[in-house]
Amino acid sequence: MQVTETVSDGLKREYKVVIPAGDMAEKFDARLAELQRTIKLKGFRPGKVPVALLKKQFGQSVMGEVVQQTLQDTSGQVITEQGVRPAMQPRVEEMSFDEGTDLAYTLAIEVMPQIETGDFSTIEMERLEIEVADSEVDDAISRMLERSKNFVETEEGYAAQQGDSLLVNFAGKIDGELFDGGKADDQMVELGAGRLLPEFEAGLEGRKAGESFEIEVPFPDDYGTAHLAGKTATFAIEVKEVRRSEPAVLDDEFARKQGTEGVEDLKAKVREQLAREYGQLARQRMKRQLLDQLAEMHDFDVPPSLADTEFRAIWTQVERERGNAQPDHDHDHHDHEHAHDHHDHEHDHDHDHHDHDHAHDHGEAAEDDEETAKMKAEYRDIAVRRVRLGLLLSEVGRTNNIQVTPEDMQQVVIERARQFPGQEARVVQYYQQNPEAVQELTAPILEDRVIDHVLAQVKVTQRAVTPEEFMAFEQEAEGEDATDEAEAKPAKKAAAKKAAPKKKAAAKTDEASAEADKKPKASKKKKTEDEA
Amino acid sequence: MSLEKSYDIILSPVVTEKSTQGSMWNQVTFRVDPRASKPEIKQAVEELFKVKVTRVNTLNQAGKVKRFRGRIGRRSNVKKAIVTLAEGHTIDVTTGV
Repeated sequence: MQVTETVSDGLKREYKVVIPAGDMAEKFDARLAELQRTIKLKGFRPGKVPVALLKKQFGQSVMGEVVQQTLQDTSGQVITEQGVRPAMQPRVEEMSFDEGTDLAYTLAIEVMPQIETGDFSTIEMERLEIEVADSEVDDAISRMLERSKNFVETEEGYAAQQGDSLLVNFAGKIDGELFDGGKADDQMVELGAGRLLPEFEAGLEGRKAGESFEIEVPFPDDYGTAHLAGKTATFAIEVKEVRRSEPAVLDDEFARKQGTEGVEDLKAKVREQLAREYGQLARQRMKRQLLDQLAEMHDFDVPPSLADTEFRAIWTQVERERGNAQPDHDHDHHDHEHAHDHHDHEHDHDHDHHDHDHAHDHGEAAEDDEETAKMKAEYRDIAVRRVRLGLLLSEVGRTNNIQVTPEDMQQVVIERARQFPGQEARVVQYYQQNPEAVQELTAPILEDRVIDHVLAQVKVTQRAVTPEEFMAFEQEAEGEDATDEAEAKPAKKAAAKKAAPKKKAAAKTDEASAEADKKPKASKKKKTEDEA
Repeated sequence: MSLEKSYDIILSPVVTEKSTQGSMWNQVTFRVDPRASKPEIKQAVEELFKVKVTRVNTLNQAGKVKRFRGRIGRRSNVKKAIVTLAEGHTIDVTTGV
């Protein structure tokens, strides 16, 4: 085998490989001999078929097979001999071969860049310790109290106040005509909850049980249901019951209901919970900063094909988000409307579609092109950066022998299963059958480990801050560089398909983006959704 | 003899372990029309493959009676010809005509 390097440009390498005809013939004959021993042909006992006959009948296909095999073997050999680490599957080009001639081909490889991990100890970072203030604990607890508010029945003659709840029958008319969804019996209405039109709620305030009356309610002009918008409806209302809201009191009983032992314990638990949440936030922030710094420290060429793959992944996601933007807006309307009106599904649906089309018509305006080009360039930068960080992390992981053990895998699977109560067995089964899915789960773990490893070497200064200060930091960081957050959501393992949520996605964390985001959570979620 | 008739006489080569052994003596085996005579076979082979035939041996293989689901069936009779070629002549059996 003869190997000559023809191209060595950046990360691209090309080798001209020549395998002499003699070697090929040898391999061919060996393969035929092997075939002769096993093949069954009519008229011959197994193993007694003359080689000449085989050659005539199967020569072509055997030759193809041999060539294929040789290509594989030799390209692997070339790679090891030249001591390069290919970033992607090497490509075989310009292959030429005929029986009796030399097999010659060009092997094009994109090599992994030589990554020199910088000196992590030069990185200086700040670990923000967020202190949980007492007031916050109290806030959290009062929110809990609010949620578990009781409604108690009231004596006759009690007038409804804000926060109280009424059991009513109502029938709404527009121009003397009952309209769709305007009638309901035994409807609970909580005053001040803002679930219904404010005028409607206002009309109920101060009413007593047993009262019947009519109120006028103007629908706002931008009301979700088109045929109601801007109209005024007359609601005939009958109040059946008034229930007074009774704020839950913070006592041991309440604490026990929340699964704790007493007020003190509840407070401690809430504090712990908050601290944990803040800890995660702080860690995320640190990770982001670390990645930023790492990205600054390291600058090596990134295999273009990897960057391309990454870019395409990002781009499809962006496009999808764009397509979703309009219907998403609609969605809000949808929810809004739901509160008022439970019976308007049919109509709403049409509405949705209509708007969708609309979006399409306008979305393809010419001015978009320039914008698109700009965005593309931007996202390409992000892709390159992501791949670089991914490569770097995997390199650090490799050189420091950081691995995810089978026990870890087991644990994540179990944890994941716990998030789907009632379906644990199915979840576990899913992961048993889909090793790639487990791979997706473990990738973040590995990444975390690597980050930990690096963090251990980084100079860290501690600083205690209050949650408000922390939030301020966050906002500042976001303001400085809008794309930062998107990028900082770290890349997973090197070549693995990684899709960190984009900034928009992170902000919204709506389903569409969560799905596109190939992190396991999303895919898992999707799966269960599909099954449901 | 016309070419068409030659094609009618020589039906197909026989490719088996036994028949390939004939290559040691420069012999080739064909299935032929049961009604064909040795001289006819000789002439047909010479014409179709452009070779010189020195000798033709033939044999008739009567079809076996086979039962399938209790019904009696009969395989067709086959006449084979083992053709010896003059030295220096060969027929590539597998390539066909």
